[in-house]
Amino acid sequence: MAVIDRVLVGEALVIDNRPDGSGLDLLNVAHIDLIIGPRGSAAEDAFCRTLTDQKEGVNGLLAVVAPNMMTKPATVMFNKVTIKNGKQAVQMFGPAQRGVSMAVMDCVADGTIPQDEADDVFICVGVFIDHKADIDERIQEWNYQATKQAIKSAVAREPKVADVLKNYKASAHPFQAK
Amino acid sequence: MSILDRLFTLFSAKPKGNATSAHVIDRVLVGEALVIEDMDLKNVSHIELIIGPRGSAAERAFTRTLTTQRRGINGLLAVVAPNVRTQPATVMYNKVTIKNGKQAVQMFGPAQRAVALAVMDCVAEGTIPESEAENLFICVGVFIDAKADDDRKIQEWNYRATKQALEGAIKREPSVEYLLKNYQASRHPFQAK
Repeated sequence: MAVIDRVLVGEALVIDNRPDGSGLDLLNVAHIDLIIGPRGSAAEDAFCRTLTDQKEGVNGLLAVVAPNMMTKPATVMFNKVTIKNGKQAVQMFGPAQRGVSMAVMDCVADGTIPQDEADDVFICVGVFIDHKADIDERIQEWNYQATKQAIKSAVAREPKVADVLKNYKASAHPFQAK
Repeated sequence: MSILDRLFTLFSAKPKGNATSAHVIDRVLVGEALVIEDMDLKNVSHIELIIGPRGSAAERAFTRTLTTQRRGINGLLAVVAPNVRTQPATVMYNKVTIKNGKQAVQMFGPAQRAVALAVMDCVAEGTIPESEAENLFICVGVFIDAKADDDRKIQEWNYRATKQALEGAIKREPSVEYLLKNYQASRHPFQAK
């Protein structure tokens, strides 16, 4: 029976301190939200729409580990912050694309996404890159980590309702009203 | 074998001519290709495309992409020449916002000719079975840099990239096995150094 037999949803945030120790590196924070699902599901429709539905500053982009090497499962990335200049565009189709693609392929290599399902699954990955992001290595590494974590939790159906119910009241959102 | 078993075998066996009725393009397939020479980044061609049969998400994407026009982003039916659109029906869309007439003409001139010829060559060569062509839909994303300046290259490179992307998609390449063997050693030209 297929592991990815329905639309699954994943999310992950990766952040660390600024290199100069001035606090959290919000400029380069990686935040991924994604969906993954089989042929015939809404994920396939969303994949086809996201790849073809271009808007000024918001571009669907096929994930490739390198040109002429698209990932399997087929993966489309879309930016969450409107792209307004060349620097942002290159961050998206350079480090972020590499980070997302490597995460997808690592998930196939380690069996999170079963190899025999990889041709029949579609992934849509929302990538948040702040327009002031300034360290390509962090964009690449953190988007790699966040994508991997989001895929793993999506496929594991985490967080479980029971866990969320146990913990949601005690949680704090970093941007909630004080 | 009892007579009932024989009868059952007879009726459950596929009629002969049916063995070839399975369609080559029976689902949404995805292809990608980049063509560049001498690192001419201004005229680089990068194609991403989907192809799929009637009733699939590719058909829905085709109809939406052709009809959802936005300022600077235009779906465009691929034609080898006016009044000669391709079969399969193919819609092209630009990945770089069109801001002036030069870009628009590059899209509906050299790029359109290139994409349309690549599609028709794929049918002529059998990559896309002729018998399926009228029941397929193709959506082709075309990247033309805002500073592209060589129409001949736009046409030739988008032709090659579209053809390569279609062939890759239909052969289901790159295969998962190939990727697993090669992805770690690969380098992305724009990755973090």
